[in-house]
Amino acid sequence: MTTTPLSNETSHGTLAITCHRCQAQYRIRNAHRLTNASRSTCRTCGARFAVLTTAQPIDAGQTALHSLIEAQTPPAPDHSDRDQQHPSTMHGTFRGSGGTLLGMQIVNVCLTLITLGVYHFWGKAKIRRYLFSHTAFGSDRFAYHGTGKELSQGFLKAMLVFGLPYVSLGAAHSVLDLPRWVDLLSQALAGLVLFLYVPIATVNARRYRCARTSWRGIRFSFRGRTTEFLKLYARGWAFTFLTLGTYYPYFQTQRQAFLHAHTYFGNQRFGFTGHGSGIMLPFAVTLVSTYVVLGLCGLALAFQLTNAGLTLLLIPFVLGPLWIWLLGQKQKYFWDHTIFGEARFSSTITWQTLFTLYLGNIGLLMVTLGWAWPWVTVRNARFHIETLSLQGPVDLDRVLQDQVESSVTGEGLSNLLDTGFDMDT
Amino acid sequence: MATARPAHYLDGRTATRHPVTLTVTPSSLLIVMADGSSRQWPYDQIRQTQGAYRGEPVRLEFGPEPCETLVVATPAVLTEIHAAARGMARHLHDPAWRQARLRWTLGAALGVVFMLIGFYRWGIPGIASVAAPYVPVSLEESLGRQVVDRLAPNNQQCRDPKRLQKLDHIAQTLAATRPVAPYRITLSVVDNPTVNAFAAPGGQVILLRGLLERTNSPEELAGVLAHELQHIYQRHTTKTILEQTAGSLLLTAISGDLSGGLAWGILGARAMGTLHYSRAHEREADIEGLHMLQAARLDPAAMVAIYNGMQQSEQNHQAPPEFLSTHPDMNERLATLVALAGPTPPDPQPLLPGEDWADIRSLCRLRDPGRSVPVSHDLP
Repeated sequence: MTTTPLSNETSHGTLAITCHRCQAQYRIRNAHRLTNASRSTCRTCGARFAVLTTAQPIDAGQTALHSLIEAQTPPAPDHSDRDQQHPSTMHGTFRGSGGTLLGMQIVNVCLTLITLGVYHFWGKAKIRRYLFSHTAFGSDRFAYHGTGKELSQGFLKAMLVFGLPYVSLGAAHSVLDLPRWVDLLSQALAGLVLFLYVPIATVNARRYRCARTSWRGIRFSFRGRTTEFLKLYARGWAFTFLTLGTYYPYFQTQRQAFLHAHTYFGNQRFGFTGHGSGIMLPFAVTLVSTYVVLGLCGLALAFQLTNAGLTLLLIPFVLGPLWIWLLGQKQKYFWDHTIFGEARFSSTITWQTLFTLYLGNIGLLMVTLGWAWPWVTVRNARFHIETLSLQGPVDLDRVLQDQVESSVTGEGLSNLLDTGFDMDT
Repeated sequence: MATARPAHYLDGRTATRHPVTLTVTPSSLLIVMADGSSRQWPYDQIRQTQGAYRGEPVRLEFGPEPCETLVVATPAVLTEIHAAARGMARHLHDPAWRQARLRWTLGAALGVVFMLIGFYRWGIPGIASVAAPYVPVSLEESLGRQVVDRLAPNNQQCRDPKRLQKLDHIAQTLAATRPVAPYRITLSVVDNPTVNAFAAPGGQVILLRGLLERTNSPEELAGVLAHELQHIYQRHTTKTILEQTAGSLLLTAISGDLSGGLAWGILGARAMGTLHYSRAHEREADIEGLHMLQAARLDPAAMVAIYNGMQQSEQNHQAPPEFLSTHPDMNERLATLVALAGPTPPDPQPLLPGEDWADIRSLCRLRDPGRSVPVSHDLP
């Protein structure tokens, strides 16, 4: 327990305290709200703070000050919210319940079967609305505004543009007796359709989801052009192949930079400051280890030191943790380099916590044959949201609603690509 | 008397949160801003987008996009609105309804179970039976050619024309009982010691040497062929493909967002479903095959005899339990056949009279110059 005297009171009712363990400094706004029951922890070292006040009633002067502060800074609705103690740091929280999700899913399945599948999209919108409604940043919940109708239209659109060509090319291969070169050509085309689907779906799903997400009544938006992302994607894979994988971290960073930096909250843009060298080392370690492990397995098999089944089974156990480590590093790097105005996002993901999460999820799903899915969803959401925080001054009063809906309904091919649809990606 | 509740107001234009107080009146929600100004939202124009589940704040929206929003921490405000203006607020969530939600969910779970059983037992086979006749025969033939190319590659086929013609005669005798069927039945024999035979869609029957050498008479072979021909005439492969497609769609409907999560359970369910339908097809082929023998005026006892022989050899090694098998239990199949066969017909038609069956069935043992695979060494 770390204690700090309540004497260093500053003007305007704010309070400055210093953690005695790590010397981190904090300011407490609305200090008059602190009671003897208030508890908190130091953000930096985890030391616990308690409040000791004298039993004096709040005097009239302080009440006046109180209302003055209220008028200037809107209060948070949750009085238990920790962020009030440090207004320049906002944390993500997720409070959804697995039981409720399971119940919703059962009702969804029932209605989906009765409607022969049509309800699927409405059910999905309902689940998303629930998940978003239980996700908060700072003390405000997100809201999902997507509808089942939009999701079904998006599905039809994607089926028409990608599903139909892909399936018909595949069917041509397996049913018709085509000359060899036509067959090869159709297979190559099917591959191309699949290759293009991933980036186009990524961008458009993001566009749709951002447009249907709000926080404090302000919509998010994604304004990146699909054609630009396609260029980035094609170039990224080409260089990755040419450089035997070395370019991959830069490609991933560019991809993330594109997605983050074209995202807006109202009229304010998110930014991305990373350039890829930061995840070069973890990536190189993972890549080299993967090659070494696979090489050793290959040698062991070539000299028949072990049997093939055992080797193949062992590979995920050896390489799995390594790739999870890289994933953790990557996610932390991407979030740590994302900015909003003068504030910077920060992620506390570590490979240990990520590994524990995945291990727990796999265990839960295996024991219950998959029925623990809602709890796995809750675990994932809680983990990814609660490791995230935004540090630094955020002037939310300057954020204005910006309806960009009209800007994505252009003409021509880019219209088809940029109207936004959502798929399971 | 209505109480004033604290809430947050978002104007939809800025991200600034305005503290307000709400008062429930009989026709509208009265919102008083911090500066003393007020506005009224008639209940029938309010949309609720959050607050139907425990742990959610109540979110009320008003006006066209970008709409104005109110966020209230407690659902008690909804209870109060319903009490004050029941008629105008039916579209808003009533927290009293949450008690009933559990019952509805359990009802839905029960409904899902019944619907799944219904689809599994009648729906999926029904869809397959209805849709199969619409699949063109040319498509089945094309699929059949691919199957034959894989299971009976040219260099593994036994092609002694004289003996093959005799075998073909048996097949054509059976096929003659279905003169209107659109399939041209052809027979190929593969040099493989396994005791088995396949029917490829579109009319091609593949007979493995192991089975051919197991038969003691042309009639026994006819018993096997009758079963395989029925797979073709009943379009079992096409039905299997349709059943698997319908089953996959059904499972996709259940899994929905559970994608991946339920993968193990779903793969298991799919495999079990496939096996169940496969056994149903085998039973049908047995029964219809027997009827085909009777129609060709052949002695069904020979079919029983060859099945008996296979059952004897099956007993030597452990068979999987029925629900894990593609074929029904052999004892059950035999019992069905014996019951259906009835007494021996008065004038059974002999097949290939005066021919040496032992010679015909050994067509794979003869070295013929066109064959690259050497004679198998596992002589009996």
